[in-house]
Amino acid sequence: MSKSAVKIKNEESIKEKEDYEYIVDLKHIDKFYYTGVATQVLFDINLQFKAGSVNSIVGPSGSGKSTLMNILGTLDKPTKGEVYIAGKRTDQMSKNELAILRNQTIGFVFQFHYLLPEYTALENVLMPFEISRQKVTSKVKEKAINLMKFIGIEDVKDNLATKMSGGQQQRTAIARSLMNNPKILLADEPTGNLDTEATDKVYNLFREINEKFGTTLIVITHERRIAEKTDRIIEIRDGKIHLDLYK
Amino acid sequence: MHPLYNEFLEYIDKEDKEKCVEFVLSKLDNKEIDVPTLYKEILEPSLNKFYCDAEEENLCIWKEHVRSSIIRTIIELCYPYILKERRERGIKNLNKKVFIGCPAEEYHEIGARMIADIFTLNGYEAIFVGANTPKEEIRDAINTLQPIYIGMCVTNYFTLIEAEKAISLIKEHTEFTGKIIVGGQAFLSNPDNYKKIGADILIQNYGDIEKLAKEG
Amino acid sequence: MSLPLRIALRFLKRGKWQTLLIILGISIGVSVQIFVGILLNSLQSSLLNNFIGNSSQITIVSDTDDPLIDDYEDIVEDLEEFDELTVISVANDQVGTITIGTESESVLLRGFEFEDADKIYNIADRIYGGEEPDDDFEAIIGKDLNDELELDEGDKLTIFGFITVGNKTVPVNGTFEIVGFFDLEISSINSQWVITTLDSVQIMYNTSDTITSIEMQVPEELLYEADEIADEIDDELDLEDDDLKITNWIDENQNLLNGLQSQSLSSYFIQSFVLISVVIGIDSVLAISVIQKQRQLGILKAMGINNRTASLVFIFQGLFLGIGGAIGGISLGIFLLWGFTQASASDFIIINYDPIFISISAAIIIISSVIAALSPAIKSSKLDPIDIIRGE
Repeated sequence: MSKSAVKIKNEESIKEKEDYEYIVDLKHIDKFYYTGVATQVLFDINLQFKAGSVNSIVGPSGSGKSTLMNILGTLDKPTKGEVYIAGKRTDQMSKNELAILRNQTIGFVFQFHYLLPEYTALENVLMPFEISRQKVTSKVKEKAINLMKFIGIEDVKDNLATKMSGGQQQRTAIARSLMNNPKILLADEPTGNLDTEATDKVYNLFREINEKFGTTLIVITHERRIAEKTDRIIEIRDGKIHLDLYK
Repeated sequence: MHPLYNEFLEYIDKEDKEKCVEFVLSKLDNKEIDVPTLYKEILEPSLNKFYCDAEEENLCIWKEHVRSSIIRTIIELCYPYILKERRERGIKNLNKKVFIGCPAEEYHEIGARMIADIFTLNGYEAIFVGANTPKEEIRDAINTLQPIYIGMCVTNYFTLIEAEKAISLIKEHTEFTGKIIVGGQAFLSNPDNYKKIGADILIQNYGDIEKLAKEG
Repeated sequence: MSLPLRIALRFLKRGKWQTLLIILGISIGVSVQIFVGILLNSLQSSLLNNFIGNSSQITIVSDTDDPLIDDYEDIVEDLEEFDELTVISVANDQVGTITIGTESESVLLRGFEFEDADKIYNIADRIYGGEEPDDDFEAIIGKDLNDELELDEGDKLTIFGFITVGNKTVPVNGTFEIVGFFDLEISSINSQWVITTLDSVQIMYNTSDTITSIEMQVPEELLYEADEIADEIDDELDLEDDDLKITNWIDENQNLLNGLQSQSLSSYFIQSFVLISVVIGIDSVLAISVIQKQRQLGILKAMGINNRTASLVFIFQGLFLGIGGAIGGISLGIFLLWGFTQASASDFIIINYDPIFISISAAIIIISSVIAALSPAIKSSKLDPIDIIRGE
């Protein structure tokens, strides 16, 4: 992409900002799974997230919260209803459009880290940028290293993903999710298999990210330590929003 | 700020339990302060406005625990003064039971104890069941005690979820017909949350309890 | 370098042993294909060179009882118009007998324009003692014949023959000075041919300026079209009118040809089966790789790689495996062929490391590898990240 093209794109995105009230807006979402019989997992979900907010989604396993998260992240499509991300309707986009949207707008952090074991920590962090088909300049590399510094994993930047502790892997995944300055960071049980200390570190990081970059955070968690510190807790029960509490 | 607050803070900052207790009891004896004022303007602020250096988080936790323990002792010692004050104020026994407790996973009980004392002072028979009470226990207690009010203190905003679970269990599985009262720090910045968890009344200050007593 | 290319390289690099193993597998397949292909091709061309290359491929002879052809110069002139003919050589062949001890042995006395005949039979290079016949009644004889005669250069050899005059048969003879010995590597020739000048035969058999055959060769690439060229000549010169007929090596060596063709066929079969097994191998390895790399693909897709890129990762893996296998296989194949020539003492087969054949083989294996990667690539393209993320 040429410099001017990037510039135009940035201007466009600034314009877009004025066009939407919520960074994520779910309208009347139903989700069915078909495995022989149709099972409804989400029932008429209406949910909005303000840009720059810190949110958690809690609920028992099987409540549909992961499905909700996957729909939020455009990895899954609702059976019915509308999904708007940063003002754009996504439930009707093509797979390739969604891929671009995810690459540019959404950062993912999963419970099982999901680093690419073939790559070093730094290369993993750079991957979203590479996927955007832009040239990795020394400036971009510097940005990645700065991100890793910010997250406290610069020492292991040249380690293969498999040669890191769970906490380091998760923090690498977080650095990676931030590489393209996403508007939204989606985390699905990000501390699910981390110890208490690492959990606190990850949470504090989320807070710092939110403050430093203004990233909207949506975290699925069963960890009270995490949820109690977010500004909003959404409890999903039986595929419905059971509670929606603001701090 | 209450004129006695700073002196009290000085003692409690040093974890000087003896001085704290002596100071409070002497002021109560001298009638320089009454119990609700003591709770509202000295004990509560010293608990809540607890400065904590994030770098020394571990240090903070033990300090907070020592502080809580001192305050708990003071609250226990306040009970005779509550009864005395009730007599002196000429408040009749209303013959109404009030259940006071905290939902599951809520470990902050001091606020609830204070509330229980204020209910007692206002003529209620306050029954304090303590912190971290599982919803089934609350249900059983309600069925046995048949209170007119259920008071639930929620400090941590995450435990609103547990409070909601307890409230819906009470509504579905007891014959309770009174009002569910909630209060605590969890409602401080967003009072509307009380409706969302299914409570009837939010208590934001001790005066609300007096009003309740007057309304009968 | 494009992203899918780099991801493909990285996947291969990190699965080093697996990659090496599959490249080794492909290499062995390719080496067999190269070995069999080149060996059989070389065998064929050696065969052709030996039997067809050094013989007349198209021949004009008399179609009547009288083997003699008059006025052959006109025919030769006409033949020279044909660009397809590389050699035109006239010969007057007569049967004679010689006496060895008490036995008489028949020989074929071949009268050539030596320079022309040499282009067909490559005689001059294979004279191992003495020189080519130049003057009248100078002759050279084959190695096998001389094993019996034990002549030296300069020795004389008398050949007896018959000519028909009217209804009578009249004996003739000629005494030749043996000026050299040849070894044309075919024992029937070595034991029977006596090569001399055209004039000597015409004088001895009193045939004035006649010949018995015109022998011709075509370029190597037209070898298998000799029959068509012969037909063309026949049509053009109306040989029948002159009581002549034209023959070609294809019609006269149908058995050899059939043999060669079935050899080729079997070679193609072997090569095809080797290729099929290589393709199946690549396909199954990449199919397993897609399953192994599902997680990675899921992550990459969640991060925004599109389906095309996801499938290109496997196409490139196929391409690299193919290139690796082609390089390894060709090297190994050439090594095997070299070993084969070292081990077999015979220099009958001259191995022809045909660059065109090798290039085609390499191209086929690389293209096949890419084709083998197609179904894994499609699988990779269809993979839904949600299945990976939900599957944990």
